[in-house]
Amino acid sequence: MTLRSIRVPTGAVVAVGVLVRVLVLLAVVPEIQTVWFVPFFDHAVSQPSWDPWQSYLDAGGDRRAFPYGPVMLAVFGVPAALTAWLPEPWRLQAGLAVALLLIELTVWWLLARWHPRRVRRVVGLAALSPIAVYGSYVHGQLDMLPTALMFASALMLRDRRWRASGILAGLAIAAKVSSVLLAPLVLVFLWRNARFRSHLREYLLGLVPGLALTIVPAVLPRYRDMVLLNATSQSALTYVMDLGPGLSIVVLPVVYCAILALGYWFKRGNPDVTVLLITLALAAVPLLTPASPGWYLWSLPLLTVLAAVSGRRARVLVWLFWALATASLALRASGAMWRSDGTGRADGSFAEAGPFVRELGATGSVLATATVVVGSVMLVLVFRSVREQHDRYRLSQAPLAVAIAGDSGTGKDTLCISLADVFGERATSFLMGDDYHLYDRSAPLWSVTTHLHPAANDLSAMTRDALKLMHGEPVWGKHYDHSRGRFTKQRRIHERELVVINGLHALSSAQVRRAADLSVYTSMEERLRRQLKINRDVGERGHLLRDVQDSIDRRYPHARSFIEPQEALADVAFRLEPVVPLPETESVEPTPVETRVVAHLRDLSFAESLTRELIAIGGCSAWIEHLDSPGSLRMVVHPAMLTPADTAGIAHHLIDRREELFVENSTWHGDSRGVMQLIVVLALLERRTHRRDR
Amino acid sequence: MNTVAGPTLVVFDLDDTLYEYTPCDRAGRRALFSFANEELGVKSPAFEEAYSVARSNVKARLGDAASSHSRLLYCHEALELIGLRSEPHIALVMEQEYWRNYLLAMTLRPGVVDLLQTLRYNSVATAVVTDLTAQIQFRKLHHLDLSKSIDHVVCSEETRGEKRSLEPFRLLFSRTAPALAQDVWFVGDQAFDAPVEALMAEGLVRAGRGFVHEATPDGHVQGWRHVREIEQAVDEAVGGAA
Repeated sequence: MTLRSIRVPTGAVVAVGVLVRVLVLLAVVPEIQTVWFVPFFDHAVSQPSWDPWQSYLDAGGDRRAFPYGPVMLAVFGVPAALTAWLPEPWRLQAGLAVALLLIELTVWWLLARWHPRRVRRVVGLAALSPIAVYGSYVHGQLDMLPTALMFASALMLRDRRWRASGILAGLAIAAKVSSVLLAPLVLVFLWRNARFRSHLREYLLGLVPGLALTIVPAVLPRYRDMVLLNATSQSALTYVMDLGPGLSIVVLPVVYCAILALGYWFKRGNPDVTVLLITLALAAVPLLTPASPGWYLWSLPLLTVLAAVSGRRARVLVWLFWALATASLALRASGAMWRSDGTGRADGSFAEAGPFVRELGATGSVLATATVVVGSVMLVLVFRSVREQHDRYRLSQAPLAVAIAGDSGTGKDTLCISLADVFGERATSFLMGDDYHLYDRSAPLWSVTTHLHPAANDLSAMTRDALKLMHGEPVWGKHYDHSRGRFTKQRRIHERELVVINGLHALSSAQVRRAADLSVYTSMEERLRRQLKINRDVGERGHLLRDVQDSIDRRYPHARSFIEPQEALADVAFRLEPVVPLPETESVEPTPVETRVVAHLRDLSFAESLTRELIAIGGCSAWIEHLDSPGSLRMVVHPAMLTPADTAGIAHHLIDRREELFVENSTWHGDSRGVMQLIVVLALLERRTHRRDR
Repeated sequence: MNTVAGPTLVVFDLDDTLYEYTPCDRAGRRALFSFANEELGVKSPAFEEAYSVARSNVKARLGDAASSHSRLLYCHEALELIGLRSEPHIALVMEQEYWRNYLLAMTLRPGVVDLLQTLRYNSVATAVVTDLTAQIQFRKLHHLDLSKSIDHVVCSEETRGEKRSLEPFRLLFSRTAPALAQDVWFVGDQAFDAPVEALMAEGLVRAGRGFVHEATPDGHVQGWRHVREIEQAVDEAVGGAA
């Protein structure tokens, strides 16, 4: 049996964690509680006041005694008051200790909610965290409450519950002002990402109650002194880089702004990436300041959930970071007294820095340096691993891009609309090839050429704009209005998460093909294409059959010369075929034609799994034909039985991290549209996942 | 208990053996009842009751036949019971609704892939003998990506009776080479998935072992909870035989 094969039940892990904490809180009384918190609550309970901060200072109390806001006062005040009848040293302090334990158990419950399939791992890591035991039960910090609120806020953010996330973040600020680090990162994310911007208001509204609870009491002068201007929070400005006489840089704000800038740069990020940045910011604080033990707790649950998916090495480093921090803090910070020593009251000489601090010599520096080094390496490891997983498709770097070419009437526009149905209209930018025709419909030139000729189009402008959009920049261009046959004035095409370049010549530029994640070519069995055009132009628009046939025939030479060669350049080439051959004679045929989808795929590996699910889940007939050119295969699907729900089910089964891609409710189609949606989306995601050059 | 030796053939049951049945059935039913509620306007308790009665009726009428498990027939009967008479299209849609959600909830039990690979590596033939109609059982095997890992598949729809009647097993052994009957292991969830003694009495199997969730006292069959236990038994048998 190896260590790895030992499986400890989750219940046992929880029991051990709780037992350790109960033993510690039974054995010791944290000095900081005895000297600061308990006297403050004692005064608040014995002499209730609307302004407990003023009342306490008027009675000669220490201004450092309770640097926390009203939420902390309410949450810890009630259990403290409930234990006011106990003898010393339990009096009031027992209430604080039990409240801390209950809050930490709530954090464990939230951890289990975060990773329901990794409960043992996350709860185990948190339960066995030495800094959690030391910070709350030995040193006696109350930071577990804002930690729990910030973590709950992050959980709500991950679950896209914007208002709840805002409310909890606000309450965290009202508990401890330094929790304000979290909200700007979320606000930058919501403001910067078009897909999520509509939720900015919800989040801001959510923040209001907590901010009101923090700001309104600021009219009380002693609240300002004790809570907003306390000495501990000012230690965040202690570490500076001296750049010469009178010039120095405070490290923490610079690093925090850099993390904010990173959030700003992640233009198409997602809530999971924002959670990662929040973790970075919260973990950076104790690394870049002479932190109180409580500050190490802020990032504890978030580091736990991220380390849980970052591999064994990251988990070991996270634990080592906590262990080193605990050792370092235990030597330099104040500690606890044995409960059996009597009242547990320290004398008036208490200071947050413990008695060892002057006697440490080099040991303290070595430990502190090791903590920062291990913490930094751990953060880099976690960041790289989680970024890879939570930004799977690297949308934050560049939009997804697909270029679709094909002759007119082969389903390019339908395919584009189908893609917008999946990704959401607000997440899709279209660059339409028709907008780059050189002439409008009334131009006499069309009597001697067709739109299919490259010379009739401004292809260089189209290439330039396509490249800009694919690099995440907006473009301006006129639009060809098909109903009037005229160009509109210039309009802005916004950069979005999915860029679709759609046109007769969309694959003619090698630069566009290289920059796009996927190139697609659409075609149709010729008789089927003619049939559908005749149905539309003769049946619906009342044109003469002969004229329609002539117009089709006139386009053939240009189609063969300039459009069809693009098929060989495409990663995915579609061909729609009638299941039953159509009649030789051409006329309007209103009966829908049952079609099959033939997709020629180049160097794409999803075909087998898609075929399997089309058969198993969709009940379709589907098969793969391997072609004689390496990496090429042909997928044939008869999709008549495929319903939109089947397509959605298959997509749900085959696409990882859908939440990163689809913000609005995706609309999947049945029949051949559904099959084409699946093929393009899977091909696009496979290409993006494996692509490293962007 | 027989002397341990390497199996020549391992016969698996499918449902609740290679994957866990209950969550899949729950997902299928939930989707079905939601469909009835949203599309037919029949509230869930009423439709659940109708479906349950329909299921009992179909089973009572058909007895031990593969079609007695047909969700299409259950839906068809339930539609009759709630007063919609015969609605073939709706019944078909409901059947697909059930199976789609059922299939999407399916995951192989941990260890199945390893076990099948171990058997293939040791040149042990494999078969699936299962009650139910072939179409859906084949879809399940395909979805689980087991099609290429199993040598023979027999569905009770191919025979006149279900596994309890031994007919599907008789069909299996009529299709396999006689040498494969030397030492046949059966893996299932219920006693009738491993009829070792009955098949030995008929001379279809010369020796065998069974693994079912609740072991029977006939000495050939033992209980199992995790697929790993069966793989260990194979390892021991193959190692012992070597």
